[in-house]
Amino acid sequence: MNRRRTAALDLLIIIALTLLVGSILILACGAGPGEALSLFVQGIFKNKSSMVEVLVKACPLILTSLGCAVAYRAGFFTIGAEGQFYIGAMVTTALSLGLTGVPGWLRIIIALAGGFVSGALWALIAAVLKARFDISEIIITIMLNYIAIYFLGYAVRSFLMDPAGNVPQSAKIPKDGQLQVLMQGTRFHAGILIAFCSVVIVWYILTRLTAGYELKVVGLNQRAASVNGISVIRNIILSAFLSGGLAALAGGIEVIAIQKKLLEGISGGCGYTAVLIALIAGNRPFGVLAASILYAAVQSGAGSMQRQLGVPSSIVNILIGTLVVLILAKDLFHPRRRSSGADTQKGGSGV
Amino acid sequence: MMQQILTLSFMTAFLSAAVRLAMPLMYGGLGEIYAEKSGILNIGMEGVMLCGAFFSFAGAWYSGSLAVGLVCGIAGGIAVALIHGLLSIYLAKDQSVSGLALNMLTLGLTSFLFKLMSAGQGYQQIQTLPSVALPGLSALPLIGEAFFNKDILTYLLYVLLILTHIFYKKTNLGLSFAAIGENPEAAASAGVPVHRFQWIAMLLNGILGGIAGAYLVLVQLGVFTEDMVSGRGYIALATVIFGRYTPFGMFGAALVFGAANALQIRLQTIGVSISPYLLGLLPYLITIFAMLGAVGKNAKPESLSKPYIKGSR
Amino acid sequence: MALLEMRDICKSFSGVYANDHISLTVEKGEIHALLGENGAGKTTLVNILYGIYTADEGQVLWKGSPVDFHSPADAIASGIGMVQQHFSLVRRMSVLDNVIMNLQGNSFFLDRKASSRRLMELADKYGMHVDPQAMVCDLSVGEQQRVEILKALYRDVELLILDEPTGVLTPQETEHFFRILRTLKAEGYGILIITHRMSEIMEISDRVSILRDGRKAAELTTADTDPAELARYMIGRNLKEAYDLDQVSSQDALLTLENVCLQGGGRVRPVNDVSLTVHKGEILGIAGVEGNGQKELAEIVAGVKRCSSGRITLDGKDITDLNARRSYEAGISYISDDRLRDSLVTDMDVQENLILKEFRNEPFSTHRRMHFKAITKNAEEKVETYKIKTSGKGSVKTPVRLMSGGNQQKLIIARELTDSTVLVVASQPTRGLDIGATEFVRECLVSQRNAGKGVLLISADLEEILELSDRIAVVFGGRIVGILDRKDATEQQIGLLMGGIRQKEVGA
Repeated sequence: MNRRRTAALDLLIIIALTLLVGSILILACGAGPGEALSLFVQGIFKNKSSMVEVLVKACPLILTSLGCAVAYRAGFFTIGAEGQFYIGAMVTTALSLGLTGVPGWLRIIIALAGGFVSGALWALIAAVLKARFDISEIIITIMLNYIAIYFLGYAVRSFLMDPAGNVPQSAKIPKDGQLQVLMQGTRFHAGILIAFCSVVIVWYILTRLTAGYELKVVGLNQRAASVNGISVIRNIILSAFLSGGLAALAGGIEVIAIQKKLLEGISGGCGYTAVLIALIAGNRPFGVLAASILYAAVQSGAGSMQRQLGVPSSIVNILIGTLVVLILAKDLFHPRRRSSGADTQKGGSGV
Repeated sequence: MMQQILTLSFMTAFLSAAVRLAMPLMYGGLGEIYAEKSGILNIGMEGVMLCGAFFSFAGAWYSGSLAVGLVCGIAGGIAVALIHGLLSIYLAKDQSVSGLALNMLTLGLTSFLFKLMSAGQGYQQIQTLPSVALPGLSALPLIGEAFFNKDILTYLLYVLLILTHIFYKKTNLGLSFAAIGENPEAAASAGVPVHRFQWIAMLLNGILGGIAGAYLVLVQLGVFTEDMVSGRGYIALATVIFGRYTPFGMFGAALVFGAANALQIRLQTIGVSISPYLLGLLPYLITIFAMLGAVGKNAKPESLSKPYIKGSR
Repeated sequence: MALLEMRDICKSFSGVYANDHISLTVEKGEIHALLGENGAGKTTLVNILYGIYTADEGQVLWKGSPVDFHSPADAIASGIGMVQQHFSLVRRMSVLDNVIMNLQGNSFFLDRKASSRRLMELADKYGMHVDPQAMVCDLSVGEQQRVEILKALYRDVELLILDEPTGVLTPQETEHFFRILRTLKAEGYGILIITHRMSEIMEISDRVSILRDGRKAAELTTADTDPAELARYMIGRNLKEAYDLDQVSSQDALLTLENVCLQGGGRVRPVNDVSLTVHKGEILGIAGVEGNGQKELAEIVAGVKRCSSGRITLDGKDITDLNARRSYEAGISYISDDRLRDSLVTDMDVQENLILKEFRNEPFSTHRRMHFKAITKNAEEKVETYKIKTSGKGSVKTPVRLMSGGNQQKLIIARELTDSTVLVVASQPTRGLDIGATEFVRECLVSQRNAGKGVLLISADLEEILELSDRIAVVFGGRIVGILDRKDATEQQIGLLMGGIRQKEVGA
């Protein structure tokens, strides 16, 4: 009981401090906090469309963060969602544009499935290097991100470039190959439902199936897993596969539901944000859902502040970074608990 | 004949560019050597460098002095490194998580501050640090131009490399600093103040990482752009692994990366018909192969990224 | 005036007294033994003395004047050295570098030549030969201990604290080690030695202080006491006499190893041409100094490691190439020497740890779906049967890391020893446990034996081996150097074998 109360108090302090940092930054821009706040709230709740927009923004975050959460459960500390997002976007674009003879609904399925598999395979590169040679997955996945980004830059200037235009982007995805808007007057698209379903499915796998139990054991103690007959390599590869697939699915959906074409910078950095969202959510699927929507809401609010007041939207990155740092630093609020930290801390990147 | 001159001048320019492009990696890598040999993994090197870059630019811009810029850059780097120290040494938190969070934070912060500073208008380049040819050495064929006709920070790095090597190999203090990354309990029982030394190592990490970022601005580009470190912090970590945690090994590894970068730039300038985007991914691809090449050479400090908590085993 | 005096030392961890008003003195030229069970507070006490912990109350007097150590550096500077149970050596540094690390007298630049000379002199004086240039990770445990002692002596200490120094030595090495201690004593060093072996206390110490539950139970002059009295003070009752091994083992082979080898990374094979048999209803003890291939051997039998050549059969079936999962399914239970790393997921709770081997099977899951009711029910039954104390109202949802070592080990035994077990591989099963838990574990092993199953018992504790085994195999350098019958075996003889002297030479 006591422990729960301290946890709640910690949370309050963390939120208060984060808001404080936010206010200071807004003030630094010369904006009035009252005005900023009202614009912030308006940005989210102005009308149905703006509220739906939060979900639209949350959609890629949910999928990429979910992917990170799956990997972290198995102790595979991937930062590769960004690159997998790009790979998924590219492959989905290529399939959507290439499979001209196929009916639209089938093309959507094939394109998204193809994107999923390609991202999954992309993630396997790092997983195999980690499982086979014990090479740091952090550095490898980040390098793979840059490779994917540069490769996309090449793709939209060559084989995927719109032959009719001269800007670095692909041709438009044909109407019948796009994910439909499900609510008139908004951008609520079918991809959001896919993201919600993914949360439920991943939750079910992680908490109700033996596969989830195996992942958890591998993530918490690799040595005990192998001594007790659970294959570490198999589980890391499995989690990386699922993780990469989900991030790539996010990329595919972004292409055929929102942008309707492939262009540079299409991820908006959500692959990196996903890492922190998964951590904040404690790698729990529904936590990821909630944190992603919250993040998207903050982003919407900040966007409105930027448009009206010129407060740079990078404030969102600062806030989420601050949030994670404060979560890590929460023991500072009551120094007495620090000494007993010994039994809760493990070495390595046991996330 | 004509062709030969072309090749030699190409090689000279190429090598010179390689050294220049490797320099931020070398400073970052050297800072990371100090941190990692004392058991602290600073994935946040990217953020340290980014802060170094931004604050050096801001400092130089407002003061008009490169020296002030450098000092500001160093201060920025120290700030990030010490926050990482607080989380990983004092609070014994997961070092990868802390480092990544700091990278995100600094990316947001530097972009934010830069926007505030520029208020929508573009910046002119600041004047960059001039090269000073070392008499005698700079006249050496090929390498003279590349290694000894450079800015003062490059020469400082050479000195630091040698000092670091001597420090770890020959000095009493160096022995203790290396021991805490291998087995902090053993070091502590020999009376080494583990946490204090880790703090010192993080301070050095911040200083050197700050210079690494400042180098990008004050020597290479003369401007700041958002996310301008673009993965160099992570590549610096790779150079340390590839260089087997020794200063000279890291130096060699960073040169390889610098060369990869220089190669893609040189190839572009002489008009090779490969897309610049394909060439641009070359350094990152090489990093992966370098990591593969370092497999099996297990030079990693045994207690790297394991928090040391006094009195526990 | 005593060299060291500790007065009324108190130290508590989260409200529980680890040291409750303990006083102790060590004189110059005296060997003072500190005796007590695991958890009695011995290590806490010496850690306070060495500056690793700070006492809540009490005073430490060094040569008559009060001192206040905040770190080992302070203790070392005053002249106190400590050899910890788990050695404090940097494995990937040379012997010399370990010895001269952070010396007060060091100049800024190291003078390795001069230091090496002094180290060699010191080593020669006490007959502790080591190569200063050798890497610590290439040394045997006995040699590493010598390095630890030299490291302390090199620092000109006057008081030497030794925490369980003989646990890793053969009887002959222990003999040699005691000779060194006697020399040091004669030279006027004060020595505080922590041990739980009565025979050693009787042999080496002048005085003995006994701790129980954080309090000092008695202080005795060694010459006036006997092991039985020491044991009474230590555990508050008499030791269990002997285990019921009357029932004769069967002649049917259960587990056979034929020429089993394991190729290691280096030149030497960790397991080299091992052949042995465990019969039904038999405990085969494997004795040997740690690091002679026992761990690898256990892992090969349990399927965790695969042997590089040779053949293993269980009840006639070839199990050479089975992995850990298949080995368990074939009936091999494995109790590892490293509970926390190998056998438990400490951040998971009791019920999750209890299904670590069986989660794929009914009733815990069907078609890959987990059944949590059955999992909880199973845990509650096991907790009841094995009297596992989970902290927090008997909840099976307690994270295992919050439990004591004894209860963790009970949990492992509850999981591993099932009806389908035919062979138990138990590696150091009682290490670090208190006497109650130790007896419980030993009884479990004996009852497995008496139920006609086979037990492969690996232990560095010779007393344990002699108490429990029907036959005893001794390993040295990855080989079996002798197999003895329980009735023929003596500690002396096993000791020689453990030191690498072959059975023929022993003349058994």
